Amino acid sequence: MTEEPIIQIQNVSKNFGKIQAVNDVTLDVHVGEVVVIIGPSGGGKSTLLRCINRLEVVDQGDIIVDGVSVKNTKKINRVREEIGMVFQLFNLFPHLTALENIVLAQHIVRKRKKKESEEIAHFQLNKVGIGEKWDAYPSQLSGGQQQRVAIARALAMDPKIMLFDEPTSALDPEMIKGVLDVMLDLAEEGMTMVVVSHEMGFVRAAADRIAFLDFGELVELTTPEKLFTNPGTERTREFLSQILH
Amino acid sequence: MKKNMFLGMLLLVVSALALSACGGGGLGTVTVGTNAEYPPFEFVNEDGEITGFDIELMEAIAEEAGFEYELVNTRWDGIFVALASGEFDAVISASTITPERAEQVNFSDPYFNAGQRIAVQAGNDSIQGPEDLDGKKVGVQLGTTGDIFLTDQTNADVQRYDENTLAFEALSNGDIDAVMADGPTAADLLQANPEMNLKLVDGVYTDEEYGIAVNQEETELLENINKGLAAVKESGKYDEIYDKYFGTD
Amino acid sequence: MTLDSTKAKLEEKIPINWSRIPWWAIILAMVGLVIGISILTSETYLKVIRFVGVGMGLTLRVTVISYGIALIVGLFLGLMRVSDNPIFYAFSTLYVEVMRGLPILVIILYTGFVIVPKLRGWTGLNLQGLPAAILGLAVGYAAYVAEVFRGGIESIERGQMEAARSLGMSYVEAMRHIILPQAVRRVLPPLGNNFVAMLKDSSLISVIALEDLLQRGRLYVSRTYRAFEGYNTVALLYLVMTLGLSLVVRYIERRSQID
Repeated sequence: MTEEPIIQIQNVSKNFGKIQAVNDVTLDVHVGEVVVIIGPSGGGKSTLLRCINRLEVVDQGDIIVDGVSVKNTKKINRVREEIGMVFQLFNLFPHLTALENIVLAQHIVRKRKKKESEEIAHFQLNKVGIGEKWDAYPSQLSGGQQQRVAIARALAMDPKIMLFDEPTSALDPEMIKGVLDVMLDLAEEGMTMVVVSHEMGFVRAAADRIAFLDFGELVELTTPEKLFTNPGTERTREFLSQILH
Repeated sequence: MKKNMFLGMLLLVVSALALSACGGGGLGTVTVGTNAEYPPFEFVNEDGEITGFDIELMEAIAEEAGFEYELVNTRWDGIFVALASGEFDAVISASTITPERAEQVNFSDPYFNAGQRIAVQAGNDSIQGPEDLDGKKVGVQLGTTGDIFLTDQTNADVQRYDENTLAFEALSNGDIDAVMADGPTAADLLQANPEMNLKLVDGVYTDEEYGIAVNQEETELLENINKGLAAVKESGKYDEIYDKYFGTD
Repeated sequence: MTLDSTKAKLEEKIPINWSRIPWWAIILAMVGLVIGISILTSETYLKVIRFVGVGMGLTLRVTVISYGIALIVGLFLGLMRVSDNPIFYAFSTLYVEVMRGLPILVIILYTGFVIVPKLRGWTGLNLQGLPAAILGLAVGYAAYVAEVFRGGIESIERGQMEAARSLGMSYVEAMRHIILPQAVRRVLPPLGNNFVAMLKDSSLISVIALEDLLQRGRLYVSRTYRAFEGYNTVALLYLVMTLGLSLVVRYIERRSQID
C-alpha cells in the first residue's frame, strides 16, 4: 500500500492517575485493513481504541486520523463523523425506536433530510438482517438484535472507519455468530476496521493484522497465520494458550 | 455514678417545678401573656429583657395586689383565644377593650387611652384623614383595632402584616402609602427612627382604652388586678411610669 | 379450553390478599367522607369556606407561576452544575448552596423588604406585592429544582453521551436529543413532589401582606375568635390541594414508567 495510513497511532501513552493504561504504542492502520487488537483484560485495548475517536484523551504522542490530529478539539466532531463506533453495551438510545436511533445523527450531524435518512436507515437495518424490527424500542429487542441496530446506526453515517469495542462480549452465545457474520460481511466489503475482541474465529477469518496488547504495551504485531502457528513472544504464547481451549 | 447523677437531676427538676407552682398568696403564680413586639408598651430591650409601659405597670400592680406572676412572650395573633382557653391567666398587651373581645374574656378597668393614628411619609401632604385613604395601600397589623377600622370604615386597600414593624418598614420603603396603628406606638416608633422619614397625620381616630384581659374564670384575679391598678394610680406610681415613657409627648 | 373448564375457572374462589389492600387510602377516604358531609351540611363551615376559600385562588396562582419560573431557571442551573466550564459551575454551585441554606421565609422577607425597595430605587421597577412573592418563591425553589435536574442528568449512563458524541454530535446536541429527554422522564416524580412542597411554602407569603389561604384564615379568626372552625377549614383546604396534587404526581409517575 503506497498511500498514507488512514490511522496513524504515534507513540501514544495514556494513564489514569498512577495506572499506565497505554504505554508508548505505535501502530498504523491502512484503508480497507482489518486490525484486531487482542490481549488480557486490563491490557489497555479498549483505552487505545477509544483514543482513536478521542473518547479518551491521549497524554503523550498523537493519533492522526484521515490527516487530522485527534488533539485538534475544534475539528473533533468532524473527525468523529467519519468514525463509526460499536460499544460492548450497545448504547442504543432507549427512548427512540430502532429507526429513530439510526435517523437522529444523520439528520442532525450529516444534515440529511428526514426522508433520505429514513430510507438509508431501512437499508442498513435490512443489511444487518433485522429490517422488520425498525419500529421496535431497544427494550423490545434481544442483545444480538440491539447490537446489530448499533452497527446499522454507525454505518448509516457512511464512516470511513469502524471501531468495535468488544462487540460480542455482552451477548448470549447463540447471538454472537449473527453479529460476527455482519462484521465479516463488512470486512469483505472493504471497510477499514479496528476491532477489540476475544473471538478467535473472527480473528482467523477477517483480520489482516493482529496487535497483541499487554500492560499497555504493543507486545507483538503480526498476521493471523503467524500468530496461530508461531507466536513471536513468550507472553503471546501464554495468552493464546489461555484463551484457546 | 451516672445513675446517682440522673436521680439527683430528676429530684432537682421536680422540686423546682413544685416550688414554682406555689406562688405568693392564694392565687398561685399568675401566667401573664404579652406580645413583646409593641414598643413602648412591651418590647425586648438590648439586654434581652421584656420591658415597657405595660410591663412596669403590671409589676407595680402585682406588688400592690400582692401576687406573683410570670411573663410569657407570645404571638399577637390568637392571644385572646389562648387566654380564653386557659393558656394564660391574664394578658397585658396594649389591648383595646372592645365588646367582641369582652365576649370571650373579661377586662380590667381601663388603664390607658390611645386612639388610632395614621402615619405617612414625611413629604406626603395628600393624606390628611381617613377619607383620603380611598384606594390607597394602607398597612396595619393583622387583627388589631386598626385593621378593623380600616376594613369597616374606609375604602383603603388594606395590607395586613404580622407585626407593626414590618408595616412601618414597608411605608418607609414606599411599598405602601400609609400605616394605621395605636397612637403612642406610632409616635414612639417615629421618635426612635428618624431616618425612616415619616410623620403622623393630625387627628386621633377611634377612642380606645386599654385594659388588662383576664380569663373569665379568674374572677378573684380580676378583682385583685383592679384593686392593684386603683392603688397604683392613687400612689402616683402610674404618673411616674407614664412620664418615663410618654413624658416628652 | 372447553366451555365447562372455562366456567369452572371463573367460579373458582380468588383468595383475598389482606395485606395488599390499601387500608390507609380506604380509611382516609371514609374519614374524608364523614368530614366532608358534616362540613357541607353545616352553615357555619360553609360561611368559613366562603370567606377563607377566597385565598385559595391566590395560593394556587402564586404556586403555579413561581414553580414555572423555578423550573426554567432550575434547568439552566442544573446544566451549569454538570458543566465543565469553571465559571458556570462556580456560579451555579454558589447559588444552590446559598439558596438551599436559607429558610424560604427568610428569602421571602429579604425579597420583600430588601430587594424590592432597592430595585425600585435603582431602576424604578416596582415589584411590590404579588411579584415579590413570586420572585422570592421562584428564586428559592430554583435551587432545589436545579439539584433534581442535576441528579437526573448524572443518572444517565456515560455510554449514552459517548454514543452520541461518537456519532459526531456536539455536547449541546447530545444534551438536547439524548440526555435531557431521558433525564426529564426520570425526574418527573421529584419535580412533582417539589411542586407540592412549594404549595405548602406559599403560605409564607402572608408575611409580605398577601391575602393567600392562610392569611384569610387568620383574618377570619381575628374577627370572629372561632379558631376551631377557622383553622380546621384552612387545614382542610390545604389538604384538598396537596392530596389532589399528590394523586396527579403519582399518575404522572406511573405513566412515565411505561417505557
